Amino acid sequence: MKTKLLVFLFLSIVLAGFQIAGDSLFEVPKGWPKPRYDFSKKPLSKETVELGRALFYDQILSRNNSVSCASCHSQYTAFTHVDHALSHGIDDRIGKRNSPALMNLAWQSLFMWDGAVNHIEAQALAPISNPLEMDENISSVVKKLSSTRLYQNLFYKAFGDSVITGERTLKAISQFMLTLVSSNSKYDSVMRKEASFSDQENRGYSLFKKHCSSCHTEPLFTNDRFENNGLPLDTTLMDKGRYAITQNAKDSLLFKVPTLRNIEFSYPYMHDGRLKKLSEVLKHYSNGITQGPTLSKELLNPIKITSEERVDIIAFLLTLTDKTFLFDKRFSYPKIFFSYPAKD
Amino acid sequence: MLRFYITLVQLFLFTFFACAQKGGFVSISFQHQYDGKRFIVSDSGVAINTAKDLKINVLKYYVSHIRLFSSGTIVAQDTALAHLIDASDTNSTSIIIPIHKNVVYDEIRFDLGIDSTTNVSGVLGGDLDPTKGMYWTWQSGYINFKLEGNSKQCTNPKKEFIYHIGGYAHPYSCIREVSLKVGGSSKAFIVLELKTIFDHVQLDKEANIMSPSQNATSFSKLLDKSFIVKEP
Repeated sequence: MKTKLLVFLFLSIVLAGFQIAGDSLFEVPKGWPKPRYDFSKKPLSKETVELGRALFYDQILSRNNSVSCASCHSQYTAFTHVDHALSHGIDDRIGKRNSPALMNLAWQSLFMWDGAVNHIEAQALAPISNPLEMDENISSVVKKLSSTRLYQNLFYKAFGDSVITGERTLKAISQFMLTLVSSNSKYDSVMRKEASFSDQENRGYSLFKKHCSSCHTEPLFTNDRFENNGLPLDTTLMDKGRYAITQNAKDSLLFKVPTLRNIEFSYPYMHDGRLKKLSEVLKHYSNGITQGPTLSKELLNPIKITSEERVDIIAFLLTLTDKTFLFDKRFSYPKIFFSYPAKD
Repeated sequence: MLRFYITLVQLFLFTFFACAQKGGFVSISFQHQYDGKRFIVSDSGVAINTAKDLKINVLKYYVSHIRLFSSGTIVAQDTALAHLIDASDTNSTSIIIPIHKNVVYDEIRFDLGIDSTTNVSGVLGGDLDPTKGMYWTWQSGYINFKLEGNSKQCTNPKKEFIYHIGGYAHPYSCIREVSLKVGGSSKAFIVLELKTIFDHVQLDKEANIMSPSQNATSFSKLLDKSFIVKEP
């Protein structure tokens, strides 16, 4: 009898553990490094994430209620803006850069192509206020949200009262963004030994590890650093990347190394979207490097790859597509919008 | 008005608890003047000097880490992360620091601005909420000191000057420690004398500073010299 009770207790504890894991808003995939975001100091809550999700998809964040975060960060295209080299915002104004794909942000230390933003909570302030993006200001957003029944209710659920502040609004958006974890591509299945690469993918993976992984480091496929990848300066945009933030000559033409996860859907490529296809990207690295004083040391010696090898590398890169992530209902347009009138 | 009542209630509660704990408090009030003449910024701005044709539209700054010292030893300190002082809002200009009633103090020290730890801690609330207009949007970081106005000396079309002084990272850190010897009264008056600033800035050549830079750091070095004590 005593043994049965112990077994029962043991099973209950194990099952309870699974239950907690199943409900978890954020989990570190097996074998991944520790996130940069400190979840112990700033834990996620289900209600705050839901509020953040509503805000992410709501055009109320823009000056004339016409564009939302999702306008430039669409889930089906790896939370970025495809088809346009430079993303466009409010009134079809053309921005300065290609919108970054949003995923695995808990592992990032600085945000934006130039690292202008030092904390994910402060990130949304930049597009909300940029005249070419949402052209709004956070005080006005707070006023608009405060007069909306939906948000009075969602803020109440998230924070215990319906007081809407800039701090709470931005925190909620950041909590939703932190849940955007992509870790279920074919590559991940292979690493978990649940699937295997084709011969071509295998050849591509070996070449990738030889030529690309020092910057696009597994498993996040970025080293979270800033590098000059040998693109010539676009003299119409005069975008010198990180230099604008630090004003240090060593940072001239340095941009954030982007993740390659879901790269199949995040075209066009580079900070200004100047390259449309993956084959063009690989040709840039083998034949198109512009030398300069800040060029990444990884690119000082030319990368020699044949056209066949290029095809193999692309075959590998396509294994980084994570359909579970791209179609995950937890990240999609929130149904809660259907149960409230658009305007009160 | 509501804010006034809230402040009044806070003041009452604070006084009540401070006295109940056999403690006292020091009230620190910030005032603003040009060449000895006090001013308050109104909605339409305030003319502070006719000879130089100076008008102030915005004067706001953060005060943090307020500490009271007695012969160089710390005897009391503020617990709030920061206070936003707004020269157009008299409810924002007084800060209460609890101190044991038997302790005397002879020096006030505070930081003008927000330290680097706070600057990298994400988004904060209260006086530090980004809706207060003291947080940059295109890059992370608090604006420590905001001074905006007009003068005919400015050469730009609108004859305006905009100084948004901030920056927490090396080498353009703009936080400045202010240290002032005081009489030790329970009411301290600290005055920001703008003449010290306007005697040094070149409105014709440098009317705009709006990002962390060498210019901002140079400007910040004027700020700690601009605070003086007014004895009651």
